[in-house]
Amino acid sequence: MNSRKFFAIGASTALLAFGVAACGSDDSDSTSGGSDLSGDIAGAGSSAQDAAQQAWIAGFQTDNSGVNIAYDPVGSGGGREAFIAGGKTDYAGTDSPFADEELTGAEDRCKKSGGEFVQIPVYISPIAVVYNLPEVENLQLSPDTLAGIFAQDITKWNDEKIAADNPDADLPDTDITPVNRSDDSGTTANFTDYLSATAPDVWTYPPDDAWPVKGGEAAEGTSGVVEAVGAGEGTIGYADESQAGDLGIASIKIGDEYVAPSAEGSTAAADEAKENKDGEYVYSFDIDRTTTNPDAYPLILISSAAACTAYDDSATADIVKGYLTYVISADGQQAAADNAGSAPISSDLQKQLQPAIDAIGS
Amino acid sequence: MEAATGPSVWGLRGGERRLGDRLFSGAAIASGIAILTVLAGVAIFLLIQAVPALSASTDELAEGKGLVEYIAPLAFGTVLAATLAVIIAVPLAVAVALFISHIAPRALAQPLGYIVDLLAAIPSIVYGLWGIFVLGPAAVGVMKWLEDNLGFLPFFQGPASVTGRTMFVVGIVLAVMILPIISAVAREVFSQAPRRQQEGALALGATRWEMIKMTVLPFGRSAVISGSMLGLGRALGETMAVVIILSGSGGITFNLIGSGNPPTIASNIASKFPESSGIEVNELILSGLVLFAITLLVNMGARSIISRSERHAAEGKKRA
Amino acid sequence: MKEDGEDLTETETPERIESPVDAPRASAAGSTSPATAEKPSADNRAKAIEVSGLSLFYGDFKAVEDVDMSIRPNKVTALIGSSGCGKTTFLRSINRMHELTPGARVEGHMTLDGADIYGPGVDPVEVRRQVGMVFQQPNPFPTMSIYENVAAGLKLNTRRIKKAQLDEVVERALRGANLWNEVKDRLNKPGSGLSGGQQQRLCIARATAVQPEVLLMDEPCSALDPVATLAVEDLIQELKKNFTIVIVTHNMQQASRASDYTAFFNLEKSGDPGRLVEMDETTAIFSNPTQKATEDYVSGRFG
Ligand SMILES: Nc1ncnc2c1ncn2[C@@H]1O[C@H](COP(=O)(O)OP(=O)(O)OP(=O)(O)O)[C@@H](O)[C@H]1O
Ligand SMILES: [Mg+2]
Repeated sequence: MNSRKFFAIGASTALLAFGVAACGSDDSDSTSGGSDLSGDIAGAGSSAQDAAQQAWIAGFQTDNSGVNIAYDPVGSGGGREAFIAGGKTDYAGTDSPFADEELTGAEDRCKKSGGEFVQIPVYISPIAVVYNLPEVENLQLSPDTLAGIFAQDITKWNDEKIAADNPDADLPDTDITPVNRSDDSGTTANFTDYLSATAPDVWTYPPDDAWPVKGGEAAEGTSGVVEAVGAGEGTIGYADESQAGDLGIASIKIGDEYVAPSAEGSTAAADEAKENKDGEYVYSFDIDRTTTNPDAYPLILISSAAACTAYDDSATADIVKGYLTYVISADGQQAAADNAGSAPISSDLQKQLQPAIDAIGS
Repeated sequence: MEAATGPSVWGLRGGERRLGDRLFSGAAIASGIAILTVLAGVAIFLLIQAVPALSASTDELAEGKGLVEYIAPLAFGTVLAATLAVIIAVPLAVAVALFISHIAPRALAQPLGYIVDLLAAIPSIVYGLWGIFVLGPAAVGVMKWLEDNLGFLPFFQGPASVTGRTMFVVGIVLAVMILPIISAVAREVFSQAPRRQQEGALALGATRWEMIKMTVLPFGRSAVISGSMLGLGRALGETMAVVIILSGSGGITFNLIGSGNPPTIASNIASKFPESSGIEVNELILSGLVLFAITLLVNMGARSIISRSERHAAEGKKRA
Repeated sequence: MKEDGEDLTETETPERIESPVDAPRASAAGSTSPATAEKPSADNRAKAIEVSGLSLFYGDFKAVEDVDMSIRPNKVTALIGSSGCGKTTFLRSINRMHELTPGARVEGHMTLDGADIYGPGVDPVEVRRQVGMVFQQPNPFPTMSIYENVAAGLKLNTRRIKKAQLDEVVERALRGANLWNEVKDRLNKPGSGLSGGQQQRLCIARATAVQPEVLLMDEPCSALDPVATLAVEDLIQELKKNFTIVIVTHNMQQASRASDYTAFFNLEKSGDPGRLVEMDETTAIFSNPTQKATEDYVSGRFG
């Protein structure tokens, strides 16, 4: 399978060339930088992380003016393959963890430079259920109702199941148009995971990157979903909360309460998540979608960064280490929250992850 | 002529001419070979990359579907969208071309031609955005009307989309995108329609429109066909505008106004490729190969139509 | 049609010729004049044309100045004169074809049996249906068969026409153009597949099939060999029984052979507008013209 490799390498080479050119002008004042780190690294992967990565890169390069980092949002799958292939992709961003052959591939790649594979969560994003129904201000949905809507079993807004969740609302006799992502995406994977965990009787599809139900409204990317929901009345979709804009955001039923997405709730849900380790430094998390704690908002996406503990060039290892340290630091997480609307990872989680980063280059 | 004046005139410069000829034909042959090589290279790349998908088992493939089951709706969507676009664009393009070449006053014709040409310079992503922000929402009411009044036709059976991200809108946007190509080709040829014949028709007492029907349109027929095929080719391969606009969540259906439309091959590749890996990528490339084949077939079909009508015309001339 | 020969000789009597001059406005003058002794052909549609004070312009350039002319029905009027003196320009103004040239316009008057050709509200399409035209270069419609070429004008004028009737008109027009025998076995072959002379006669058939009242011909034989030229000239003699014919020619023999009247145009020097020098019976123009310029021109001493 080579085409992907060509593609990813081509893309990152182009970016690198650009980065090097930009670097030339940076070099002049490299002495005034706050550190003695210097060199280039490149990452590729999740487009969901893109805004956060840009914030991190900007923040990190301000403190380390000799460093140049390029992140290419080719998509999580592309990022994973480019990382496994090695070459110029020093780190990857991925919405779903490396698994099976990919995991072995990543381990092999790191082994070549005498290191181990590192995978840590860096980015938590609440997923909002967005809708367009001007008559209804605070839509409330239980998981079964939500699943019924997206499975296209519930087709009218004044369906009694929706009415049961919204006793005070004046629901119109409008058709429901459920909107999903047409491209494969981690957001879809997490949303379908949530539905199958919380409403297994209604939602019978397995969690997947690709939307499994035919015939709904499909739109490209988060912006496409937001646009489609905004365009027609009676629509409902799912999107990163930070992108929801003016759309109505539904509260989902957790335990006995209806909860709207929030940074605090998302951070709490991430803290509650069950930690899996596929290697000494390989973290992945099972989010407890069925939590009954109303302070946690379990409809979240946790996206990770992948790296190696050793690189052919120790300067690269130092930069990767410094960069990831910054990424999970309170400053880095705040920068991402400001720029990308993500929820910061808690300081507890940060402390737990730091040793994996410290292992890089040592 | 040249043969008659022959050696005495050209003899002196013979050597030069032969060198120039040789350079020219060498360059022509080289470019010909280069084009064929690139084309063959693309075909071979597609073939090699597609092979693993051919031998994969169904559950390894995307959506757990067989190859045919996966690609058939895509191929269908591709052909449907492109055909729709051509059906909408051709009469419009011919009308625009005629307006510019024969009807509009000269002061208006030139700027108008320039504006139509400009349409071709707009990037397709801009068309996509226009489709989704302007045309789609505007078409919602129209589609609802079509469903209510023409719902007995399979094309408008509904339920009509409330967002406007339908095959219907894609067809219109693609039509606008290919309109400049078709009308440019048509306009060029219409304006070369022999004046003598046009005057002949008018002298018979034909109105302007009758004159156009009798002389200009028959003269431009093969140009309109080849222009349409160029347009069809572009519509078949158009990617970004379709990705942005189309709600491609359905399978094979002639319903043009619903939410569940078949995606096109190109738009499906663009939206699935970034998150695909392994055998799924091979499958996407296989679908690309199918698109390549469809485009090739369309072009060959067009060639044969054009050459047939040219042979027709040539036969007429030979006898003259 | 069979008595056509008789008609021809009779129409050449002097009385018959003079009557329209005396009463230029008289509609279908020939049939009501003292010369009604002649049998008018059932298909005779010829009309008289009266031109007065006509000037023609291309933008600011005055190409033809102040023409007064009476064109008699059922006669052949030849327009002669040196190149660039405005014969084509004048001819095209008779069926308003000049309007196709951007910037071309007329001043003055022209009537067709009393009806103002340039009158307000007069549709040029209507004028052209009554005043047909044959061009210097044969211009059959290349995508149409011989049959369709002849029928083309009919389909415009009479929306719904029965096939049998159409067949009849096509045959009559082709016979009238002396082409029927040559093409009757290949009516469905393209018209562009004929020889140049045949194509020109096809164009004449096409123009006459719509039964115009006047037929304009701009150097119709210039692309033809002598044999084909004679065929067309014979045809013109046949056609004048039913139509008024105006023909532009550079061929003096043709003018003297084929026309009843000749109008001589001239221009003093290039850049000046062309003028009608004199018009008279063809025999008079060629034997004793009143103007020196005419004499020089017709005897080949011009320029
Ligand atoms: N389309 C045109 N635009 C401008 N001037 C024109 C146009 N056609 C003809 N003329 C000018 O009008 C004048 C008369 O031209 P016209 O064609 O009527 O001459 P003609 O008598 O038919 O000549 P020929 O015997 O060569 O055919 C000429 O000076 C010519 O240059
Ligand atoms: Mg002329």
